[in-house]
Amino acid sequence: MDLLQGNQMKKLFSVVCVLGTVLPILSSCSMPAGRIMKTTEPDSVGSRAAGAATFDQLLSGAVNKLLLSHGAAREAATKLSVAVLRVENASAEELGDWQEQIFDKISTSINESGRYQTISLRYIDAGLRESRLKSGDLFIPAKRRVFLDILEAAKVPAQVLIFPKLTTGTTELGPKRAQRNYLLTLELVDISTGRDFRVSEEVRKAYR
Amino acid sequence: MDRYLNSSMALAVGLFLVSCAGGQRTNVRREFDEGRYQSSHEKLTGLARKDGKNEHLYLLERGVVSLALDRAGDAVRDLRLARDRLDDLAGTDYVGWLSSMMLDDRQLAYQGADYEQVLVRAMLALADLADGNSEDAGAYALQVASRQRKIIESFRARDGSLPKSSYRQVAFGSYLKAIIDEEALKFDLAKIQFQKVKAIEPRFSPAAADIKRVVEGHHSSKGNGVVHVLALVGRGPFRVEAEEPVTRAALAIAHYIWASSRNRAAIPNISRVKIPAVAVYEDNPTEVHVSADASPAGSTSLLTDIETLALDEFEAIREHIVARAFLRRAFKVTATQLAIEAANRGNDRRGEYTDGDALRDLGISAAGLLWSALEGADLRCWSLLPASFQALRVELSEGEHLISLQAGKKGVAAGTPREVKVHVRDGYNTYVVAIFPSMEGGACVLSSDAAEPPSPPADASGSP
Repeated sequence: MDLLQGNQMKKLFSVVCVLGTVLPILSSCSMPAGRIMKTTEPDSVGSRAAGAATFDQLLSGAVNKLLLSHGAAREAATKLSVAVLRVENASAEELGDWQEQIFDKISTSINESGRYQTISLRYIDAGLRESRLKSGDLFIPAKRRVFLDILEAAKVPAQVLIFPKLTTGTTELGPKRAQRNYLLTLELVDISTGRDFRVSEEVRKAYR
Repeated sequence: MDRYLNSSMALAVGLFLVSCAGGQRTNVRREFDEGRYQSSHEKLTGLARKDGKNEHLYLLERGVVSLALDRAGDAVRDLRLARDRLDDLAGTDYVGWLSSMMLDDRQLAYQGADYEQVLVRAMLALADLADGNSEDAGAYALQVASRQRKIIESFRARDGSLPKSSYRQVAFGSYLKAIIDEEALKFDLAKIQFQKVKAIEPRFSPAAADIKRVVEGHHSSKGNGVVHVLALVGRGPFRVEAEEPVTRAALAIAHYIWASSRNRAAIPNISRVKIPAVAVYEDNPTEVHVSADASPAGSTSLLTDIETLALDEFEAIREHIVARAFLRRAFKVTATQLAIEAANRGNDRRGEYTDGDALRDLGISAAGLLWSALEGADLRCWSLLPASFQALRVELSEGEHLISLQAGKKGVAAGTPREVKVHVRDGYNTYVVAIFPSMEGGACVLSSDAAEPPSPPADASGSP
């Protein structure tokens, strides 16, 4: 019986020792991990912000609508040269590394349509820097001309400008629940006709 | 008997090592104050590599240093990683916050003070504006208020009250959003944000003129642009260890948690506990004096007083912090008592208590005492935050201008002026970020649209 009590006591003492030393260390340790996702796996849905699934849905929806509306209205013998501007972020979330990716995805989708050819973002950034203009200035004809002249001088003339803009609307449903609507708008300005098209795609997301 | 003594010693040594592990941070504050940014950056990089659990704390610090080194893009990256990690670690609710800290805060990954979790977003917005190559500043600025709302609402006490609802709001985020909206000619949105600034920080005297300007619907006169000087003034609040008496209110909070988590009301008698209190520097500059092309343009006005923010936050949840420290100490005392009780169960049955048993109990008690004695307040904090965010709006003609800045105290300029030559564009904002931690020490100025790179930091030539 004494031996049994002694063993219990030792166990309890050991537990206290272990808890006192190991728990504090383990409580906040975690090993980083990563894996290559299969091509068939769906995109991850961000727990804090838009994330891959949201952006893919927004981009594919908006670009398809744009190509259908403008492509149907405008027929050209040769591919139209398109300058896609950086995304104007008017949302409550930062784009971070999505900024470049969104440009690339829009650019790739437009190129794949076969009717358009996009201009590299490097030329567009350089053109804006050289002309000391911001993308909003390109709606002023005189300032737009300056920008287009720089692109033409670089042998990458633009016939169409596309202005992407991301907005969000948030509905708070308590301290831990919210609904956020993401709206991606693509505004296309056809320089030769002066016409502009606007298409939008919305994704609604619930957070808790 | 020897086995118990050995076990007690092992426990004591183990606890000592664990307690020391969190206290090996090198203080980079001094180097930063002296303008040795490159050296600070290298030290923080090394610390982040060594102490992976608290990497985000060093990234917060390094974000400020990167900004001082005119690497705003790097600052955004560091601060964003730190923000995401802080969000992951943030306590879920009130009871969770109290009961998760039964051991020693210093052994846990740094969770960040509430004001730090809010201000990391303000710093992100500032760094993004300084970078000048991104569109995310507005989003970060909006996150300042939304994060603060979440922090307040998620901390509900047992009586249903929201102890953090007395927190002071951060006007800096609203101000940054306002000037971004104003530049984009969204005057209605800018007006809402300027009105928030006026309500949150009545000491910000330019708010009335800002509201009037956006109501009239103009950003600047034709041919002019605006230079926004955004200043990080003084050295921010820091933590000191304080012996705090356990008040009746704190004891009531602790009793509630103790009884609900241990299913018994007996609680050890502890009169004082160590807690991390907030302290501030007394010799901080109070404003930055600005001149444009050698003509005085005014001085910056206070937008967010970080010292008051931290002190108010501390006062708002002081009793809860004491209750938490009390619970932690009570847990240790009880664990030691339980160990002695269990060890003596055999003796009680035998009806004898030998010298060996006495020595064993002494060993357990000594280990328990050491466990409690080694406990210290968690003094970690985002030490490179400024004491305040301040701003000055200067309307200038299109073209290049030399902006000169000088730290000041109560209206008197002192210290070495810092200069930056900037481009001003018709109808647009140019951002000048000024970091002035002290009156005479290191300081730096950078711009989103610098015509010439600002002068290198003090230790740039000596760095590898």
